[in-house]
Amino acid sequence: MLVATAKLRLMIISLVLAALSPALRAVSPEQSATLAVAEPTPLSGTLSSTGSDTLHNMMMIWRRQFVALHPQLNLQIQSSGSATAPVALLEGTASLGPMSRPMLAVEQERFRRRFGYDAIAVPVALDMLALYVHQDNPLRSISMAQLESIYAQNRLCHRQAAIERWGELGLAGTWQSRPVAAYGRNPASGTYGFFRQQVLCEGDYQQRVQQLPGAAAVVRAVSQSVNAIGYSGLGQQIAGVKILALQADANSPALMPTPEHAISGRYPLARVLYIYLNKAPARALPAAEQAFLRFVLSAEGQALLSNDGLVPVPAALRAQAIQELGL
Amino acid sequence: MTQGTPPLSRLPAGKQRQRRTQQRRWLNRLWSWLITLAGGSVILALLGIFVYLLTEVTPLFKPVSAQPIVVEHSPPAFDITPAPIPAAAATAAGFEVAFSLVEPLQGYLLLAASNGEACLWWQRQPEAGCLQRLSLTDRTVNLTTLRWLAGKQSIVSGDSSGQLKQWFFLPDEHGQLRISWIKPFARRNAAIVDIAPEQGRSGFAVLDAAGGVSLFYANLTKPLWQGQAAEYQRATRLQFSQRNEQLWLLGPGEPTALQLDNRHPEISWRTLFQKVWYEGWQQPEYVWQSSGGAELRQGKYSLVPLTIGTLKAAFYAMLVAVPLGILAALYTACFLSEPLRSRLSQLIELLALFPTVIIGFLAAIWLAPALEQHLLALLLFLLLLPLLVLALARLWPRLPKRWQQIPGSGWDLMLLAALLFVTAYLALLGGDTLQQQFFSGSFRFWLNEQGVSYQQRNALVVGLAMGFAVLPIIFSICYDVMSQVPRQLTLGASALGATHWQIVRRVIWPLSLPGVLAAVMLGLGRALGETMIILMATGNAPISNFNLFEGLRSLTATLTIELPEAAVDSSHYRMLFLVAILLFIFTFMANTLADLVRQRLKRNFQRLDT
Repeated sequence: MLVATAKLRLMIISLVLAALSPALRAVSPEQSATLAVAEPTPLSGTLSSTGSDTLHNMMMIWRRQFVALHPQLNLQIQSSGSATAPVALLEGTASLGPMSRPMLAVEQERFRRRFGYDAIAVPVALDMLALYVHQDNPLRSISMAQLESIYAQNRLCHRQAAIERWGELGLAGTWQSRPVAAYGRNPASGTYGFFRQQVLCEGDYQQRVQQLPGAAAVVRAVSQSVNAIGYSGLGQQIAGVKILALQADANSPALMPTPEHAISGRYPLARVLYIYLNKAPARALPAAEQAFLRFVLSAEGQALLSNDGLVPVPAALRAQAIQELGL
Repeated sequence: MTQGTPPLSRLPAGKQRQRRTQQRRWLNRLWSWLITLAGGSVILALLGIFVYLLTEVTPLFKPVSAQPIVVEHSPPAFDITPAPIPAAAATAAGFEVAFSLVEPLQGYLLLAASNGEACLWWQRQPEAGCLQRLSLTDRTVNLTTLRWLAGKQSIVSGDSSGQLKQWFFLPDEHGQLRISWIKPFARRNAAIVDIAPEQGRSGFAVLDAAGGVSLFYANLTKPLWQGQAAEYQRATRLQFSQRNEQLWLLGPGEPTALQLDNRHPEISWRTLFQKVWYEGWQQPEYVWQSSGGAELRQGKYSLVPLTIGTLKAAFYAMLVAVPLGILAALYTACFLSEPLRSRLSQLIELLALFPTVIIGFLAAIWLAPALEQHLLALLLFLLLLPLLVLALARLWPRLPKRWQQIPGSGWDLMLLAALLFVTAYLALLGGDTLQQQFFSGSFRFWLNEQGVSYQQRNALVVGLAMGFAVLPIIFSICYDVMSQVPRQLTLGASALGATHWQIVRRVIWPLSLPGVLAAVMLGLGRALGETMIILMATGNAPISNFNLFEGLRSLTATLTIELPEAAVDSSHYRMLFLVAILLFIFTFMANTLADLVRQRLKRNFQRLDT
């Protein structure tokens, strides 16, 4: 049952594809892709962004290219976790709020109370959480139920026994008795919440799960510890780790996190990454924000995503965002 | 120069002098005011910060209040028709079903009769009948209500004698799901009429037949608030508003309502410092678990794991830093001669300038994996070093006379350093060989098999890394104290024929002991407040034990990790301020103790001087 709802969430992407309103067709994907990247008028000033650590690398990459187009423009990026984005938008200390999860009802409500309208979410990338193990680990794939048994304290989803040793995942030999050392993110990260929602069914983490600040820190820790497993964004691949294929349920095949599986919604740990904006419905965005988002959503900006292991947003979803922003 | 008579004095004449004096007086006054202002504002700022912390924390412990209000608009219709019960389940139960609850994730069904008899049935094994039969009440009383709490993980039952009980779905030793009795809540005076769960939170309200309304929270047996009124007797049903700010009492007559002020029900002294049995957990435990990424039904805020983490890290760091710091100071102050002495002390004090982020980073990426691999070598080293030093000391008098007369100080230092390196090499070699021979290649996994939990990022790593950071503080204070021992005392002892060692033991050490204690306390203060090393070198797992080989989560690291994400004014946010106050109290105690000891030391020296 729960697996079904988890799947549903991911199917939203494909649903949006199917259920495009006529208004949306006014701006076709081709048109959006051909939106001019270079602005004729030079932009200047300072843009600041506060939020997700998952999107940090990507924001840096976008910034490099974007600032090359607008040398007068300064873009400051601060990445200490998705939860910092709503606060920064609310206080006006940042105009871009990258988030690796949608805003919570409470956050949205506080925003609405201050400004009278909702913060706008712009989908900028698809991300997949990958399961990392040490490169010497012979395991190839893992199921969602097994993951829950490793990470969860109360195992609400599948109600299966806890897993403490690699032997319980089917490994033999010296691996059989080796304990599983589970690594994850700290609670400030959207990744922590996403994993908790998808894998633990909103249950509690085991007390022994080690919480590391930073997406790269998790992968680094896994690369240094032979009996470790950790979850982090796909963009964090380094030497010494291996990515596991993930099996949604007993009847489906184990899938590697690839762009096709993210878009089809079959890889169970895929999600949309957003940049949140403070935009009054009647007023247009300031020119600098407009230019940046136009760049991010352009074919060129989306092509850069693969540098960080992210997947472009489906064209239709992008077109909808472009129309909503009035770019 | 002009030809006129030169002035007799260079001092200014009367009027001018007066003006200057006045000017100076003004200037002096201005300065004294500025100084007072600066000093005062520092004190005020400190007080202000503390008061601010307190105002952020006090709402957590505000008692719950409820006021009757006029119902302006009738509450939204509430669907109370129970889900249809499958025929197979009804026949399996074999009694007339009065209450039924569906577990949403797997589809378990709990059926209960009005006499309290209950049956647990599972849609995936319909032919198995009742998986579990139990009685939800004492035999003599009737079950009157049975409700899920928010999140559908725990159940509260109420009966005609006014008893309230909490039940969990928990797997037994075979992995079979069972309904388990958890705890009773404080008994009501009359039969329970209705129970209403809060929205998205683990609290609930209870209505009894005598017109009593009480508010409970799942973790606490005592009610948070209770009230009674004759008009409540008419009500038959309770319902919370969307944000749990109002409680509606519904019934045949006019609906009445209570305006509630119950913002932080999950925080009480009991949940902060005692074990709590949380939904779905096998037993009561100290749990710290929060999330900024989602709204939690039950915030789990036990201060015990964080306090233990802080103390554990500080303890192991002190274990490393105290002996090394004191002995190094003793050696430098009393046994080294001048050029080397000041150079070495400066060098050690320079270590204090090392950014702790770097230490933490090195500990995480280099020390932790290295220790995991060479744990046995470290233990061997700690065993071998004193043995080898003793052996050398024993051997020394038997060496040829020519070797014993070392030219100048510093040579013994070289010799011991060489010994240190040799020991380290031997330990590394021996440890790795032993590991290959007897522990199937990995001492660490062998430990695991013996039931000793070993995490790569553990208290040992933190102890070593933070010990390294605290050591310079202890060293520099000890060194200062030891080298400030009045010279007439050491010279006097020397003149009376005391040996160097006797002077150190009988004169310098006792005199500097209070200073050493102060240094230890200051080092402890530093260790308690240290953030970056702990944050980076441990896994920040909130575990409540003192196992050297397991990680920890300190108060400081919790603040760093969680404060940026906490929603302003939420329980979580206020809890973090409470954590900050706790941390403040710890470091304040350590520093005050150090100060007291230091003052005593001052008096001691003054007495000696006179």
